[in-house]
Amino acid sequence: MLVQPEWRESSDEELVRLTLKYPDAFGVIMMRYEPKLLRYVRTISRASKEEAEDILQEAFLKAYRNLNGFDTDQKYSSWMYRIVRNETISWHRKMSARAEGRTDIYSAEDLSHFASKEHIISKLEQDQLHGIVRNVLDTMDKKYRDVLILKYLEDREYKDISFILQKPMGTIATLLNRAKKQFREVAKRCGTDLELL
Amino acid sequence: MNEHEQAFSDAVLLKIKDEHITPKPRWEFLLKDSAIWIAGGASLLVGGLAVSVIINLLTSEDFAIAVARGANPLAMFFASIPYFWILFFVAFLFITRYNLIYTKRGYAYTLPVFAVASIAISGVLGVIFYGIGIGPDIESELTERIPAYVQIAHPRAILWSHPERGMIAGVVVGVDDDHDFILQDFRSTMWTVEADASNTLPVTVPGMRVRCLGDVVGPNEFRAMQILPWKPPAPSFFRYQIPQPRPRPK
Repeated sequence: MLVQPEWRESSDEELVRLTLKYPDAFGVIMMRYEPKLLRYVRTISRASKEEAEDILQEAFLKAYRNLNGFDTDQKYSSWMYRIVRNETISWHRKMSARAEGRTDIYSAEDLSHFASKEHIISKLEQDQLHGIVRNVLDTMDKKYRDVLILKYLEDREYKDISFILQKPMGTIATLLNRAKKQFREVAKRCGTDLELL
Repeated sequence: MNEHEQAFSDAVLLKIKDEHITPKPRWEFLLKDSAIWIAGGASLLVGGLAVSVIINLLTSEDFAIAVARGANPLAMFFASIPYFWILFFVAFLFITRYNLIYTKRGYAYTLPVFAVASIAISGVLGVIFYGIGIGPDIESELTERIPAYVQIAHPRAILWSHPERGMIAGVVVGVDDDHDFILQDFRSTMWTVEADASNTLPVTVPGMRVRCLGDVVGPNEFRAMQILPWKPPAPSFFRYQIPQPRPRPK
């Protein structure tokens, strides 16, 4: 069965149910999440675009195999983020690569979102701010950067971050606090006063 | 949706079809989750048994007897701790915790919360097990059936392997006459035990496990002033009856 036009309007959870009957419905889920997840893989890894696509393909296949294990109390997107993150970590282990992230694949629009007044207190101009935010994120500890990326770049809620990173909510809150503190300290070392809200 | 996303999605769908990849059946996930919860329950049971054995050891007369006979109370306390059970319990805790991360909600609990909850539940189970006599029963069964358990992991056996302190224990392997018998201790040493007629355990039969209090009177000879059953009396608050030793055949 080919992709039905009405499937494009379905929620993720409905698509999961549909996929169990019609595998082609999975195509709609993949198209919905491919850009975001591809960017996420590249942000948390040193993977090239091609490598990131391979990782993502494996992650989608894994998700497909495990569709019956998807907990409908969680968001499908969070489940996908968790699988993609685990797959990226496995890829790093296999490649014995350093799990350093790269923030240069974030567009100016993404960084504007991160560096918006909603998230950051700063007197800098936007363009200048983007560069500094990038540098600061690249310099931070991975565990703190991971949580900041999910919160401010991927716009995930605490509950989702807890599910994706498989850590209790309290631990996520602590990590975020420490991450904000480190963000401020690293920014200060770069000669700028930045405060994450 | 742009062409790139469409091409990516098509490639994955093609792979799914070509390689006949199908979603794993729901029962596999249910089975895995159930196995993890059963393992969790088992770890709590083991924890409960460990606690009941600890209570049993610390409240038994053995501790007081050893101290009265010159043993260092602190050394006795450490010797009384059932390390084997505690290690077993901790190992189960870690295995359960590791597996719980992969259950639907397991990741939401920190290790300290999980450990404190497990210890608390094990504590309650341990008191119940001790109360109904399950702890002492299991300990006695292990003593009977697994010699290695006694030699490696049994604090009571260590406590009662001090002839110089007048404390020996083991299994009766032969009966000489009305009072005397041969005892094989936990180190497989054979003792000829002269029993006083007034000792508290009037009947000894081959195969029975006993504790003897007295003095060494010669090479491998022991004069027992008191003979006690190996299995300690169960707590009275549940009115558990200790099985009586079988009478000696005439």
